[in-house]
Amino acid sequence: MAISDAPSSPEVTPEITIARLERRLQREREARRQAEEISERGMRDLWLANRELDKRVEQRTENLVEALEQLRVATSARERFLSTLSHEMRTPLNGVMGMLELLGPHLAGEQGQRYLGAATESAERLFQLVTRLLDLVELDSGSFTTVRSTVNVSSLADAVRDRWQMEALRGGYLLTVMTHGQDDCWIDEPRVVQILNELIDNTLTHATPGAVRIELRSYDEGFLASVSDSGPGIAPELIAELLDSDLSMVDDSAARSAQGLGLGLGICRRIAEAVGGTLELESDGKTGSTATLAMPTNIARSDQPDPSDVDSALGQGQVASND
Amino acid sequence: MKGVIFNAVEEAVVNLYSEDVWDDLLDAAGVSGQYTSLGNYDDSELIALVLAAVEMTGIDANELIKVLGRHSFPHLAGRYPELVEGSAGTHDFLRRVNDIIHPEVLKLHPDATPPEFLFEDRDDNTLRLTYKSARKLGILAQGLIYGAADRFGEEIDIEVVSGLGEEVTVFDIRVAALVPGS
Repeated sequence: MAISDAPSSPEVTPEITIARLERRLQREREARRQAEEISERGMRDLWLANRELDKRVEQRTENLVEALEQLRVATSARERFLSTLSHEMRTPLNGVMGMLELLGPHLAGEQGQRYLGAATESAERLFQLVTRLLDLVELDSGSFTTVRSTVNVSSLADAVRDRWQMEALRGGYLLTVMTHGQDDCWIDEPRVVQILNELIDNTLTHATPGAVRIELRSYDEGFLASVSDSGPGIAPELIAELLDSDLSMVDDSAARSAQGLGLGLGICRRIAEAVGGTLELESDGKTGSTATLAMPTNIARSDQPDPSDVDSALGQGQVASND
Repeated sequence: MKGVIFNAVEEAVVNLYSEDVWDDLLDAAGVSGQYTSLGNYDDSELIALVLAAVEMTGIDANELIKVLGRHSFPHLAGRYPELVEGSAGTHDFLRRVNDIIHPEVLKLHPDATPPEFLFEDRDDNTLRLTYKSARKLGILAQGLIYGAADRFGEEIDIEVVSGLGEEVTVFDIRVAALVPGS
């Protein structure tokens, strides 16, 4: 039967129509009420789900904070252990070095003296490594302290010359120390000397024999110390790696790949920054390299060094133009 | 104002009078009347409806709001029975309004601004309730509290201590006795 043939009610009275409309209205009202209920239930579920999520996020955050705290405790315990260890190691090492020194006059013969020299050199290397370890621990734990004082630049140059001239000559290097600018500088002297020694040692150990030029400059703006060699230089892509490598002391794979040039450079950079300065390494990768330590004066006088200020206060170009 | 309040007032009017009267009130107040519990409507529409009802019936506005509030309660209770069930009586229920019911309302409608209630026991039978809302509809609250008492079969007496029609209204709600037979 076709739909259009559906029989319509023969007598549609107004009463029937009204009754039908009322039923229709009732259906609509009920449908609306149900829709509102469904919607409110949905909103409620959503709220509950949100709360559940909030709780979970809170719980996980709590767990992470806890894990972080445990890690921090473990790290600090490790740092304390390393710090104690390196301190404790220096004492017997000092004993060994002192005794080796006293042993000298008592050893007869060239062979004995050669052995003694080798032993002394090894002991000094070990002492240096232990010192680096201590520095690294202090840098990591934030307990690194720095004190500045007024230092005479010429005296500093003399000290560097005395320390390294003979050793340089023995290795076939011609070492020159030059000073520029003002007589005095405002630096953390033990730290600057430590960095300079490290830079020079690196150069003498790894650069090909030739000229090594050390320049110390003091200006109103700050102090600059540079160590340049005439060796084969460092490939530019290695420079950042060398300066960033904290692990060069522990895992010196980066250093090895650059024939050991990076040994300690990462620590030197971090020490330089910890005392309010910067350490930069320049090389065209062919002829020689220059390491430059910059210690801005104005930053030094205020007690809180900010590395970003250091850069702007003492850019290389700015100082070069004063030269 | 939440749509559910309009729905409740509509039901009160229909129960007290008739659907025709509600239609007439909507026309007289000049409001759309399309209220859903999911929506939010301007407070002024409720005021307009009350004023139209005052005009139509000649009953005092406060009295009318109280009556509408009282007869609106069953609709609300029927809509959210879980919020009413489990209360021991009017006082007990009122104490739950702040801590349970309004927070529940906020779950459904984060944009709602329910009034704040403060409580103080006056004596064993009397609870002092302080109503706080920028809507100044303490009188509607009073009517709804009468409706709640009806629901719990209690006879109560509400004394307006201060601030009727203000943002802060203080009531003393005394439960007189259980309504016999309920």
